[in-house]
Amino acid sequence: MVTTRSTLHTQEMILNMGPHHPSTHGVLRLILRLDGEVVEGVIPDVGYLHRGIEKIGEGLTYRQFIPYTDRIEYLASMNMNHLYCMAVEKLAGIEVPERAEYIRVIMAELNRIISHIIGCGALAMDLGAFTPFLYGVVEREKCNDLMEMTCGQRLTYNYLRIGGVSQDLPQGFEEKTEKFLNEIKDRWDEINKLISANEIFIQRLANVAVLSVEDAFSYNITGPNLRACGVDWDLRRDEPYSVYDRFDFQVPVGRGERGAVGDCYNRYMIRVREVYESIKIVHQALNRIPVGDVMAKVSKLFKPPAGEVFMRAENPRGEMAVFIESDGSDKPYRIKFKAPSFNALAVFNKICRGHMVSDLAAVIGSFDIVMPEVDR
Amino acid sequence: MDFIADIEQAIEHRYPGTLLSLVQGGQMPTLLLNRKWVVRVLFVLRDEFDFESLMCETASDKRDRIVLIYHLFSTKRRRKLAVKTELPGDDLRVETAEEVWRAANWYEREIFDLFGVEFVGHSDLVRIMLPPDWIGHPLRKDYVPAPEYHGMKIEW
Repeated sequence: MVTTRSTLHTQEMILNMGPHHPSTHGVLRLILRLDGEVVEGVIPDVGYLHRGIEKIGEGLTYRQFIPYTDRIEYLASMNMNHLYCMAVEKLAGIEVPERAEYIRVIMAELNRIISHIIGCGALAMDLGAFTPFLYGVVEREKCNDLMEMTCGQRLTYNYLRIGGVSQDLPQGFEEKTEKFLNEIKDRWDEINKLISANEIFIQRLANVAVLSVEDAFSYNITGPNLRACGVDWDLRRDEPYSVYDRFDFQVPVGRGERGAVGDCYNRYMIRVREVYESIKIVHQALNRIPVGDVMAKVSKLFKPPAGEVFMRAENPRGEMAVFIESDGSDKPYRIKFKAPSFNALAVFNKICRGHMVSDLAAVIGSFDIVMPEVDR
Repeated sequence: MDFIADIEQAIEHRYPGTLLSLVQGGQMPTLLLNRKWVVRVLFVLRDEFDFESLMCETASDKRDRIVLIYHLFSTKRRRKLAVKTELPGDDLRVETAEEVWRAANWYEREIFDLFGVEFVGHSDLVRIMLPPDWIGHPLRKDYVPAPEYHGMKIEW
């Protein structure tokens, strides 16, 4: 007897994916509306990691808040430190010594490299390719050693200070970093060879969850995810902060090599290509770094004038923005972080419809969602 | 500066009396608008002045009132603009900007959750960070945490 689809009784099903699911990169719950294996709707349920960091910030002084910025995005703590310190410096009108600016850029780019390693590795791992992730983590450990010798921490660095950095680069840092950069370049070529042209990998990513440019702007998708849609925009080049205007680097833009522009494969490829650009920036910064102080003179009792500041920076996951309102006291009156992953999650319901449940792992991985920055 | 004068003129022409003040200088020009027409003006800013994305929407509690802040950005013209509107403490209601930029949907859920601002016309106005049965809005300055939540207590 043959059962056809028309005689089979079917009904829509609601399924929970997460909050504890290996491919959700933290504690994310997706409420799926399914027709068989096809996704009809996705409702992301966030907030499992909400720690009230913005409220905590209102009770701490400006300096005390720096370690909390690490915990907002633990895969890019240097970038978070950088953004927060830049915003406070702008508010108070502090000039940072040039050497400190170069150190900040070196640290931010090293952090971008290891963040992309984890991002691309985890995406491959979610799709069943375990090896690239482990290869990547080995390299990441070497970079963590560099961070450790600089500031004593391996994950939540708390290295930057308002007005500079906490201490100068240690002896031998330049040589070790050059060595690391050469190694990571070779290893990245190898990882790239392993997966980027792999037919199964391409089949899983190409033409999946295509994001249009209009949606990207309307949902304020930023960073690599926006560039994957073919938009040539990078804050480091187009609205340079710190000393980024002194470096020569390319901005990778989605080309649609294997499918439509704006699909998962483009989002992955942008990150792969960005790692090479970051390596270039760190090389240039190491060659040109001037000697001098690493801390500006900032009074012990730090009170920025009343006012407000809105600052954004190109983080590995997109544009992270911070809004600080000061009432002239030693604590911020209001502090708000706008995280790129927050916007990326909001667009899920729009772009995941019609795809398979197993594609969701690819979508989450390709957007490189990090939950603590969504929930704060 | 012409650009800002154009915006000023467009608002004054369509919705007279809506533009309460305009602050230039600093990081970006800031418009203070009457809350009654703020979303209409946002439509004008998006369609005629190319502000195609909403970088951030947030609020700040001033005790007697809550200030809403929209940070707009135009990639095409490379311009930023801040739009503010004030909600009196006894009537925390404003129209939703969800139809202008989709990103506003989640931003506004967060503001509703943490400040208690009600966005009229919002398609899905439920708490986003906190559990649905949470009492109070934590980012208000007068917020006092409940002594207990489902039997969980913290001894200070």
